[in-house]
Amino acid sequence: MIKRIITVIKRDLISNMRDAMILYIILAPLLIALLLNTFIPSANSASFQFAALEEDTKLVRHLSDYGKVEAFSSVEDMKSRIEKSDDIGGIIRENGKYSIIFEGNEAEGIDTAYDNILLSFEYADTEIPVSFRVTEIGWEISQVALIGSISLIMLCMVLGGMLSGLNIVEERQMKTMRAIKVSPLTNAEFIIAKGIPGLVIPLLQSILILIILGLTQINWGMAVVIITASSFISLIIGFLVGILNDDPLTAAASLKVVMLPISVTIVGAILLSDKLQFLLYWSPFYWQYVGISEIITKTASWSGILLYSGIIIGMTGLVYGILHNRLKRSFS
Amino acid sequence: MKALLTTFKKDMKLSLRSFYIYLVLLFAILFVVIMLFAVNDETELSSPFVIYVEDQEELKDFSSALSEDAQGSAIVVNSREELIASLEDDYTLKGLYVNYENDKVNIEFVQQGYEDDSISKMLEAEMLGKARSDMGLTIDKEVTLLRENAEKVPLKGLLIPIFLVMESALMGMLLVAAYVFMEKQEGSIRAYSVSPGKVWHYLASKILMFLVFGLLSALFVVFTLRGFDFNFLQVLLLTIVFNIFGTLLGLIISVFFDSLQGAMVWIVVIAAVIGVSTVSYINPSFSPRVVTLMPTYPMQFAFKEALFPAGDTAYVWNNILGFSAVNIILFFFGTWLYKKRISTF
Repeated sequence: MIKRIITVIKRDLISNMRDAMILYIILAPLLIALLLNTFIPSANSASFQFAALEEDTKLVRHLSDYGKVEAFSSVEDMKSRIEKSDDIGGIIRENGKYSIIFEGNEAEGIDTAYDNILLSFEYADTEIPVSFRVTEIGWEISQVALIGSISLIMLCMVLGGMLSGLNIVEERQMKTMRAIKVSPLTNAEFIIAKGIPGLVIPLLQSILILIILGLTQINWGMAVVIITASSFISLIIGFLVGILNDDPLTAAASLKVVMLPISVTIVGAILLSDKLQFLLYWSPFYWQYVGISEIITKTASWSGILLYSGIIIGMTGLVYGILHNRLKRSFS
Repeated sequence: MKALLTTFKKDMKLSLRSFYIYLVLLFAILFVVIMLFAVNDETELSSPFVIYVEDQEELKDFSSALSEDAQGSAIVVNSREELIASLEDDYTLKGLYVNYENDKVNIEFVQQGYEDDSISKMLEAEMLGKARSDMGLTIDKEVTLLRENAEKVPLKGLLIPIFLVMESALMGMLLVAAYVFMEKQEGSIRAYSVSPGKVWHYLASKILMFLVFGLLSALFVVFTLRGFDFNFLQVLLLTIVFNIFGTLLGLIISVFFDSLQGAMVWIVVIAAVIGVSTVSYINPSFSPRVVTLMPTYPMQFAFKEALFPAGDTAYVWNNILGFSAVNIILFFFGTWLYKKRISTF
């Protein structure tokens, strides 16, 4: 049995190596993780952008404490920059008077923020009856890294599922299903053989993504459990894409359908208040999101992780159960 | 032209037989339903503060001013320990602890630890700025708005261009590869090469087909959510040029691969990467150079301008003309590529 499964996996591997596809599937999310890593520091800043005249070095220096400063040699250059799509406000100081230039569609309250920045510039030495200090509780992982890592892990599930699914579509297109049917390979062995890459590749990628994003101080045991359970989502995606679709077009369209619950889950988990999170309970991606999020934020417990993993496996099992007869028909 | 029309009719028939057309409509309807019922006008993407102000007589005014400012976006707790515990429970929160000691209001900003210094500097300026204003300190300033009619678009409105770009404009990018490979496997591309139809007809037909679907989903969403309160001509032209761009990109990527799997990986990954520009679009102060170079970045801003005009008409027209020029180049390049490789199909 194992020999037969390995033979099918080897065959798929050779087919996938033809255009180095398997390499792309493995490397792509890791490259995105590296890219994300370069964004994280700037995403954790106050996100203010200022335009100032380069001759006013003192003001430029002061503004750079609060965000990114772009210095210009003329007011006209400065205005053209402010008119561009992103949010950047200009400040010109002349004889103790300030001219503040906005495009007009900046975030609400930006004028007050600029006032406060200029008050602190103008009256830095004036004694005031208020003191300000900053302390930290020592949590160094940003929301961007957290959401980014979970989104990338979900992308791995899709790519893994896509690999399994499109390999099945290829079998159907090449009319090799009938040949398989008369070979000693059973349906169960076929499913396992087609499913294993979709299970193993996302697991390895997810671990590497966590390492690349510096999320290494976590309970790796819990991480492996929840990611392994989540890989079953990938398996179901693979079967949905591969078995239920007869041609590449509907298979690709199915992939688009799969992207919908993922996007809804990520956006919903971020935007919805705690009271409304129950609206996402139907999505196995939600339990994956919660599980990985708790592991990274170190609030996870084994009972919680096992519960979430159980829900994910239960949901995917349920979908498999519903599809069982359809799957059997497709094989025959 | 007749050959093009025949190919287009054939492609439309084929696509109408699949469930794709219904999917396009389903996505558009789902988006509209979510926008109408799940996203409210006040939704903002900011993390709330946890505040604890000591119950001291000197802080009465400060406390009420603070709660007024932070209305709806603050969680008030009863001790500093509770404040710390809240931050430990939710890594998105930030805290403010205020007491009165040594004749001074002492503000402690408790942050998680991942934040950049600019965030605490900004808050410091805000807190001390209030005190400076209370002391009568002012700055002599004059504010100029370069576009008087420009208004901040609420988050709900900002989501429409994201749908228009990622769904209506780029739908062809994801699916055209599937069409090409299906026809490759069925041998219809090779058959096409010996028919009177020209290669450019083949590409143009695919482009037209996805344009029909793209316009269908874009116009449904825009009319349902914005009524007639937008620049119709600009939205129409933007959808056309962006949709053609997406389909051409998909067609060109497909030609380099021998299997659908190989092409799809790249298309899904490219879609995921260019989707990152949405972050800069939602938060325009965060705009690293690499993001602004992504095609989806100007696309989203151009749709925003056409839907919520702020007076920058030139930006929209620059996009229409710029993408039209790129599309012409890509179309010639694509035709040349397909001609060159059609014998290998």
